[in-house]
Amino acid sequence: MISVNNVTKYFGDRAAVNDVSFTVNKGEILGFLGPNGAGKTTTLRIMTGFFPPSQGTVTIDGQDVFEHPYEIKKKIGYMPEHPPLYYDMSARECLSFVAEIHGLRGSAAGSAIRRVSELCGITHMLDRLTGNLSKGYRQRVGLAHALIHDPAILILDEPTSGLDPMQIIEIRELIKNLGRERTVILSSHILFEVTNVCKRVAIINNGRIVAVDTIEKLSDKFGKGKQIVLTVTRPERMDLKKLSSIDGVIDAVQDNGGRFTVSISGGDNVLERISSEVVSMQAGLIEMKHAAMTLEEIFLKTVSGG
Amino acid sequence: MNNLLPFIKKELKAYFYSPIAYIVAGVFLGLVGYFFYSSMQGFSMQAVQFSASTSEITGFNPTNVIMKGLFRSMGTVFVLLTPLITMRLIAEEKRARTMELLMTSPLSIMTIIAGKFIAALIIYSIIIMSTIYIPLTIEYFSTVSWTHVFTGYLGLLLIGMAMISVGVLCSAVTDKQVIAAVLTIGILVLFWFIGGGIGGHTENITNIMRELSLFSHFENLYSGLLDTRDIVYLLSFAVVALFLSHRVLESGRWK
Repeated sequence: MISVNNVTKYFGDRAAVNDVSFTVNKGEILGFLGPNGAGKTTTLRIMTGFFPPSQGTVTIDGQDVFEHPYEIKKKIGYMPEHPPLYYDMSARECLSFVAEIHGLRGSAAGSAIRRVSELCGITHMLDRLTGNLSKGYRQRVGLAHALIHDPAILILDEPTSGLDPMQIIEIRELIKNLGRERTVILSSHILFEVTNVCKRVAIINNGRIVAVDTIEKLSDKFGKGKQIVLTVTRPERMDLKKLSSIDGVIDAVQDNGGRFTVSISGGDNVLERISSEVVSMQAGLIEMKHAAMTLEEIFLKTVSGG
Repeated sequence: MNNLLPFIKKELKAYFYSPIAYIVAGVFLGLVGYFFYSSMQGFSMQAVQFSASTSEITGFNPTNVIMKGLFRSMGTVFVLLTPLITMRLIAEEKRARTMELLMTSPLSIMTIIAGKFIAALIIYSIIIMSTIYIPLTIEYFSTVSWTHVFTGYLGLLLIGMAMISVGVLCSAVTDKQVIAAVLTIGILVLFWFIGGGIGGHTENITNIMRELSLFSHFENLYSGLLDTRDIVYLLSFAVVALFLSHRVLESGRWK
């Protein structure tokens, strides 16, 4: 288990992260979300031991990252946002260097390189200079670096940035598979990416954690009850006042054109009353559905402080 | 520290993959080859003149006349060439962001600095030892004092350690190779000429400066004089510069 406790990091006078706390449970994939410059990379760098926090501690399996740097660094596979590659070396040479500094020698290093290059789909690119590889393949070699010592914890900083849609899907599948037996922390500013992969997310903005929870719970928390989306063909016939006065309806608003959002409290009987009311208005009801709040909306709400 | 060997291996690879080590070696060996040719010529002309003289001449032998001058030239040429060997060491890791990989791997900063220093020293030693053909050639035609030659090469090795450690330090303070090179040249030229070309107001200050100079300690060694004071000074100079490099990288993490 990883726990980040009240971590603050100053660069000069500016606090890049401010009193950040959250925990990552063993075996889960945590999405670490935030707009650009929110402090994601700084937090991840502190967790990997790249630099120490100004205040606070990070412990992994009960060990402090800065008191036991060697043990911790062996447990973590870290892929920075810009994959660190030696451009005048081939992918194989880069990987064997990383394997060797993790203490893998000879045939152990060879089999580790085979394993990660198959996993990341770079077997046919191993003998090319990394400087000549495309962005997508560099990203994969970077991921292979992070995986070479078979770490229990994987920290990925924007692993899909700069990739094309096909590659994004491949990398996402790969991360999902890796997450079956590992703890994964995945940072991103693209929300769609984490909804598919992660169960829990931590949202950071301006250096502070604004929310840590499962996607469903966040959705409930910020959604304030259930919402129903109605689509009608003749919006001018909709009477919002009448709709709001129905028992069980909290609020009804027109989103745009024929789309209306109705907040309700209660079960199916409320839905039934709404549908019969709309039908009696002869507004031409063509669709009625539950609106689960998307991560995008949660994100905007938390980031804007709503 | 058990990661030192793979780290040195990687550093050496980087040298062999980039043209810079070959260019430095080529320029150095070309210059030294020319110096050898001209001092050989000077020696033979003097030999002809002295053969006519009847008075006793001391110190006129190939080791003293040719090798001593060549050792001094080799050291001086490396004041300008060392920065080219060392400038990329740490600056390039910072620029290419591979420092992030090193710092998040189970490698200590000491291993990183030691590995880079040793790799540069190996390259330097290979280039320096390529001039071994010179005493061998002299030995073929005449005789050479091998103890003097050994002391000279030891001097070059020690002065190389001192110069490379300055290069490592300068490379640690910046992420731009050119800045690292210019800083290294500045420091090395200062420590080369201090006490000699650059004097103090009073004799005492000049004497202190001469003690600080890299050149004056090298001078004894290439003249064939093995003095522990020179060895200790040059070694401690390297240790201090490497220690400062360690501090620079470590403090960079806390900013």
